[in-house]
Amino acid sequence: MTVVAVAVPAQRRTGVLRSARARVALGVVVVLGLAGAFAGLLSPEDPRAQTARLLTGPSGAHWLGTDELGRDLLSRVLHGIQVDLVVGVAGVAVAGLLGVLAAVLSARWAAADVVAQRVFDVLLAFPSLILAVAVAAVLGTGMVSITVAIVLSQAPICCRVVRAGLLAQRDRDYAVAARLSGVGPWRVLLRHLLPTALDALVVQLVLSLSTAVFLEGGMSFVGIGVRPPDPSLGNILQESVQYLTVRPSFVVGPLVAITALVLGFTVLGDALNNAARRGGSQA
Amino acid sequence: MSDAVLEVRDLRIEFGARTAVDGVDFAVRPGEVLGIIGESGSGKSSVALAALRMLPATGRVTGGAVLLRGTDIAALSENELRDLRGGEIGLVFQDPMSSLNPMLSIGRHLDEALRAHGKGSAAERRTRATELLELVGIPDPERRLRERPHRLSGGQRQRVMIALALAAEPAVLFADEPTTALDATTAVGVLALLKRVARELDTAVVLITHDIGVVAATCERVVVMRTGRVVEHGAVEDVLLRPQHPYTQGLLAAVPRLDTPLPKLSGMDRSTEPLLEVSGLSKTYRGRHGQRFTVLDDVSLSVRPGETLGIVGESGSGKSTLARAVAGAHAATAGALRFRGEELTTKRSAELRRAIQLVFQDPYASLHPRMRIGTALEEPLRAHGLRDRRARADRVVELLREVGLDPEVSRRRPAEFSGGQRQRIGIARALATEPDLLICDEPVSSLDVSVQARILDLLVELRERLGLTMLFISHDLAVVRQVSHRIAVLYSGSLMELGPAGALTARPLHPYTVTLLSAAPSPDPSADRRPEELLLRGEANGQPARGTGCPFANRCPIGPVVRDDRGICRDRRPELSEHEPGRFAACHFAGSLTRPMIEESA
Repeated sequence: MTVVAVAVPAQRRTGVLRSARARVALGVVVVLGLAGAFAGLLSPEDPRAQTARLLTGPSGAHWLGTDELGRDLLSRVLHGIQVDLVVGVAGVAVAGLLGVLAAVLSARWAAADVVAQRVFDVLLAFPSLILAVAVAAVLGTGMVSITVAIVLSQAPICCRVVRAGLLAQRDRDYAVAARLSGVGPWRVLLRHLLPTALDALVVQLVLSLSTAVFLEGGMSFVGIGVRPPDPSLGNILQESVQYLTVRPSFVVGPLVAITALVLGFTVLGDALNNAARRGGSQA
Repeated sequence: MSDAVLEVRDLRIEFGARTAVDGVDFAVRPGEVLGIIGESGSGKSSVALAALRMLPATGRVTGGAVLLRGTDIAALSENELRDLRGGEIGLVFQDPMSSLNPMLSIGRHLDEALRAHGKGSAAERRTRATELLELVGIPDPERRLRERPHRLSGGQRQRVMIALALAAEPAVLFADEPTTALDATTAVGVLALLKRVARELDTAVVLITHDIGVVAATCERVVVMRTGRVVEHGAVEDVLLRPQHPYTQGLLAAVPRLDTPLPKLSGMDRSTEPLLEVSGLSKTYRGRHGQRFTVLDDVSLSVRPGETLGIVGESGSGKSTLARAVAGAHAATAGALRFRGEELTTKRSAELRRAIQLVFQDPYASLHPRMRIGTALEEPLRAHGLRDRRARADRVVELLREVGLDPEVSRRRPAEFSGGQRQRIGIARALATEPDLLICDEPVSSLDVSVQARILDLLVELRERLGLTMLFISHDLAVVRQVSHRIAVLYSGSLMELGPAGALTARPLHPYTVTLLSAAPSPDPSADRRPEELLLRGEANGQPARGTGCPFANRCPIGPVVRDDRGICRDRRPELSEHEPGRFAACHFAGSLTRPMIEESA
């Protein structure tokens, strides 16, 4: 008695790009990503080269104008985006890896769970900028400190997201079924539980990127991040604010870039979240 | 039918390009209970939604009409529709838990419904709400009005839902699977209530269900639906006793019944030692406020090699807890499990894991949604030391054939299979390690009747062919009776009765078994199987009165609630004792309540 399985028509996977908002956000992120990646090629001038034309407004030669040392603002903003993306991607990637590692160990051993959660409680208790000040106090200023600050502030969040996913599934029938059929605990954890838990992590990573940009901006703005003359969105913004009354257009470039990056990542994260939930309910 | 209050004429409903309902006709008169019966996907619920113009956005009525007192509901404006929904037509859903707002009191729920349909002042509404609760048979309505839904049991919640639907004195009441989420003994009361509503309030009741027993017990006329069409329509006696359409005939044949001859089950080895011994098994959970919940209370039984032991009980009886303790999914609080004389704990040797396997109730939840079927079946093989890739692949093919699936499907994922097919995969996975003891925890409860019958056949066939010993757990006595040699009846964690399947269902010793049997839905509408005195008072709520007495004392039809001279049931707990050779019951008055309707057929 052979019963032939009849294929249920596969449900069309509802994609991330279903909403216009998500498509715009992805567009913004891609454009800024390309701008950052090819900052060297796209910049009309050396972002550190000083000229005599101080604090000029936007013109044909300097699309965004020049700063107080006569440097081309467009070039500086493009390089600033690059710096932000480098520290953001590096920091968030490391945070994600650490988070997954800690979550898997926590799900495997109760003792590891207690230790990891208490350490993360402490880290999460500090506002991220305060944490960043502490990091800068130890490691000094610069891109490495920013990256470390991003890791310290985001790894606990990533860990909690993954851990919650693992724990929520642990007593599901399919996990119990796997255990009862003799599958070892590591394999249950990595093959059965982790893949589903990673859905939520992808969403969190994108949201963390927006926090990373924000954190870089904040650190450089208060002077413990990227130090001039190296450009970063944060320190350009900080300089521009000093000349807000003299040359209001100065602030436009860095402000728009930061806003666009943070907003782009946030909206994209939201869209991913919705897509994951829709997909999850079908699965 | 000119006196019909609701008439559905040649109704067609499409979801996208798919026709869900294709030319359905029926009419209901005031005071009548009409049953619509069909399996999943038959379009029975779509009809109800269309009658309220509540089809989801993807669904469209493409032909025909729904007439309420002669008015086409398609012509109604939004305002008129509001009066229709919950006004002229009331609706009761399957799940009474998710249909009530946990934050609002029962009184608020009723008040809202009454106010929405403009029923009087606050004081008048309050009086009316009390009346409604009385009407649906909720004791102490004044107090209940102030309480929130979580204080009520499942059956009481469903009664509140019915009270809500009746608040606006609807002409038609749609009940969509109203008893599917309830225990049989509770469902009986809810169905009796629906019948009474039709009779006393002259409401037309449309009862939508997959359960032929529900229709037989409640309805006067029945519509049988299949893939969107009406295959048969007529008086309940005609359709259920003399079905004309082959589909109805097949459906009726597939329903497990208590009054059919028992199938011959072979293969039990009486001489040898028991394969599984459960002695004094208890499991308690600690609640949030430190209180203890006993879900399994000192249960002892044994299973011989080759035997199928059926375990029957309602929700909260501890049957799944027992199954999972034996399977090793969780530890018991007290007592011991022995398998071939060897102690069983949650930490087991690979050999013990291999020998004992579990088939889960829900075939949707027990397969990993992203894992290919082949991989899922290979896992236990790999875990039990089958290293060779080819050998594993061969065994997967063999397993799929064994459970009646095409081996080609091994590259597919669970979402591509129907419920019955998934359950076959679940069985294949359990068989992968060639177990000696197969535990089936409600393996057919979430399946349609016709699929259910095929899965049961498969299990019996596999048992014979592979010489399996089985622990078969279900809430449905009729299902258990078909596949088991012996049956154990559990009630709120305690073993009530244990005996051979035929004798136990024909001449039950324990009053609880008697009530279970009389509550079991039968597809025979002519059988007057429900004497009033067997309707249970109250219902099991998972928190039985712990103490010295019999756990069933407060609901027992021959216990102290009914008879003053039976204080002993409250004072002394009856031991499980042998009343006839091989028949055990835990009752002081075992065998005194009999149920002569069913002839012994074993």
